[in-house]
Amino acid sequence: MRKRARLTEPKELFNADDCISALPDDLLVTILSCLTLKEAAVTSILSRRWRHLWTNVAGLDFDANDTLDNIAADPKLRSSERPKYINWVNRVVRQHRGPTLDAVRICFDLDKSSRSAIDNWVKFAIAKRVQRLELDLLENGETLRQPTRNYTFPYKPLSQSKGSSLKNVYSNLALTQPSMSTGLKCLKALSLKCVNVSEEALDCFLSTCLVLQYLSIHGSGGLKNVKVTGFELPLKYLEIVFCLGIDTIEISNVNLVSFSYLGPGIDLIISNVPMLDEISIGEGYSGLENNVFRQLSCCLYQLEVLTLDIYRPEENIKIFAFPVLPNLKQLILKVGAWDDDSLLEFTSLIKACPNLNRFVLQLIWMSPSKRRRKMRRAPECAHEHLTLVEIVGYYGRTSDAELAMYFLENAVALQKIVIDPHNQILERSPLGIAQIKNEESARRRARKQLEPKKPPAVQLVIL
Amino acid sequence: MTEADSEIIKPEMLKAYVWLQTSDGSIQQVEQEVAMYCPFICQEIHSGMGSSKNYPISLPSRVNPSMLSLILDYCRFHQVPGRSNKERKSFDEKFVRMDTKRLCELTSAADSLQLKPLVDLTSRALARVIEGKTPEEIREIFHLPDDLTEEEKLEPIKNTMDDPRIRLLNRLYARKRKELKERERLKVITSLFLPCDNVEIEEERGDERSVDDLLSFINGGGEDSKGTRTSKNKKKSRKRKDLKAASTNCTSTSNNTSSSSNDVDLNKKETNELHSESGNPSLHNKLLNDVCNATKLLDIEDDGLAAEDEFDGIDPALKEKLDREVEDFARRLNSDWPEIMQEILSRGQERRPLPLTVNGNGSLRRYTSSDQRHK
Repeated sequence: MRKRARLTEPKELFNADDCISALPDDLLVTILSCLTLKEAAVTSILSRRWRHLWTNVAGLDFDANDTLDNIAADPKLRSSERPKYINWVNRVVRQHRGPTLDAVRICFDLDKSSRSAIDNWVKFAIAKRVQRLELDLLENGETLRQPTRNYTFPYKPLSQSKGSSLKNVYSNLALTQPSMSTGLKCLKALSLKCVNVSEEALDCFLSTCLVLQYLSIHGSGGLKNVKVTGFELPLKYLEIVFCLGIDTIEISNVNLVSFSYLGPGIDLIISNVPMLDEISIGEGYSGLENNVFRQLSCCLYQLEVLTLDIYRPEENIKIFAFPVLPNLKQLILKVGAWDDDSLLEFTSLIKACPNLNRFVLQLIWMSPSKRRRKMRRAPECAHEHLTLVEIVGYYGRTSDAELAMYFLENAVALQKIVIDPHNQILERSPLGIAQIKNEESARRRARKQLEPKKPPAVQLVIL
Repeated sequence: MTEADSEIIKPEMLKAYVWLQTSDGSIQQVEQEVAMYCPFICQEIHSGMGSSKNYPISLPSRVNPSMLSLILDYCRFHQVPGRSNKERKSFDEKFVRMDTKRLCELTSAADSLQLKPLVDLTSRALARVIEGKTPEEIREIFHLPDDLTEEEKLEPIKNTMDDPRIRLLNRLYARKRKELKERERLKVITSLFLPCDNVEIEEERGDERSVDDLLSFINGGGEDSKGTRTSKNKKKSRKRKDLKAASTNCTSTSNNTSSSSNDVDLNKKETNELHSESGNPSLHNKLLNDVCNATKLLDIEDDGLAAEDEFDGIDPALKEKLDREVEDFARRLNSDWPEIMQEILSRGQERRPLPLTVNGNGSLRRYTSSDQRHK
């Protein structure tokens, strides 16, 4: 059944117009690295030389966003699409020839039922000394699932030498203990979403991954007390989002630069973190539960960027005495937009940041509605360094206009104000007509409300 | 040093120049600050070359004059420090608008001069040429030789296992899964009338036999029966180790084909790494492993390694060929049954396994005791 190979030229000579074949293999691999994985794999049937070139690509991004969009629209598709995704990853994993990998990204709706496949991929990645590993296993590609159904990161097989315990008939990897720990030592960034991480596994990451700078865990069960200490830790960026069982997080004596937490109120203990200058926090509905400013008290002085996640801005925010943040350059507030609640109380927070350069308010449209009421005014304040204000998710409510006006009137150094009328909740399902209409009206309202009031020196940008 | 030189050689010029010689022998005079943007040229200058017409820097052979002029244009723009990112990006976009042949030459030349930003730029441009096109189109654009055989071209589309025997195994596993599902259903029905474990055990052991045989056939080539037996035993013990670990990982599949009773058993009996030869305790462990087998097969389904999906893309001719091979395969299995039977009987087992065979239309069915030709 074999057909004779057809050649356009005699074997010895290159086609004179064939310039790309003059390029060395590593350049061709560089070119293939610019393509998506699927596109790169297509080149394997171009010609003999190209057959295995793509398998040397250094970054494997198993992106299946289109499929995830389809599943979000019709969840029944999940059961037929999952095996296809798993097959695809397995095929590529089997064929990969490069000795090392820069990055591996798995992004699909997978849970513990695909455990052995995912274990295999993790081992493969680590054996190839991957530097950035991302497991994004969100349900439908967009929501967190119940932790009991999550895939659990394979901690035991990686650190304990039980020989070839999970040796797969199809696996051509020789997985011995030394290669695993060597591999882990190359890991610089680890991002796990909807993957259960046990406390032992977390300790293992921190102690074995000698160059781990970036660690992000979303939606993990199994964590109760998180402790990150030790100046020898290379960790610079730590992000923990909605890991519901956590009671305490302790960060002390470590050179962490950026910390991010979002979830229920916890006991947050931060001490002696000299390099920490960026915090993103949201404890509980109000975002400021458990007196979060007191929890952060030891590093408030040094903070340069602060993000607050305030799902429900409650009335009693007014009561809050915001501490002074003398070095804060950027303040980002992510606030739920309910009804037409006034946002002016946040101005007292801005006032507490005398050196602020950039202020961002991101409004998440929960149930916004425009009410006709008198525009209120907050007490005046000069804001001498504030040059950039962004209101993202501008709905056009009275409260939105109030706040924009506050800046137009008070910020003496203001150079640019950006109004973005787009819905901030990004779902996989495509925009409905009602949604598009909302955004159109928001844009119109912004123009109507703000353009006449704009001072001449300020650039007003409505996206 | 260069400043002194330029004072002597060109007192009226304020700029410093270097001399570059391309592959065709021609020499060009270029502003030093522009040329220095290329690491290769920079190195050469530091080792003393290029300061005069008599000692030009020899550029690598891949750099011909037209490529050099392009590269120098690039360097001339980018070496100016004051430019914004937007400006640079805009320049780059316009810069790479050229035919693919020149793009390739440029990539090659830039690579030899170690000018990484330009290599990245041209690589991305070439990637954009490739993306979204069919292989035929790509071959045509780049004038690539079409030197793969038809079969080689088909490989990436179907299961790309190098070993055709493993592909066969996949096919058999797929049939096994179907068989198991059938049996699960039967079990449910029969358990209403015959609440007896014996029925379960027999069925599953029948599975193990044939699967192990398949493996040993594949690995041992199936020459002599003795060889088959020893390699089969080795297979079994290795499989047990796998299964032991797999058993701790067994969870229900998305199709929910694993029965909960299996899982319960596994959780209770986790400590076994035995070979098959020993006496009655082996029965216990065999039960465990039979059950593990069933779930291991289901695990494989999870992994998609034996997914039936993979076979949808095969053309019918190949499919037929595989079907015939599978039949052949299974028929040879049946001829090994006498040996297996002896083994089982010698271990004092009372229950006879229910072996499988292939009937005319290629589906597996169970031998009934009346069909058995050998004792």
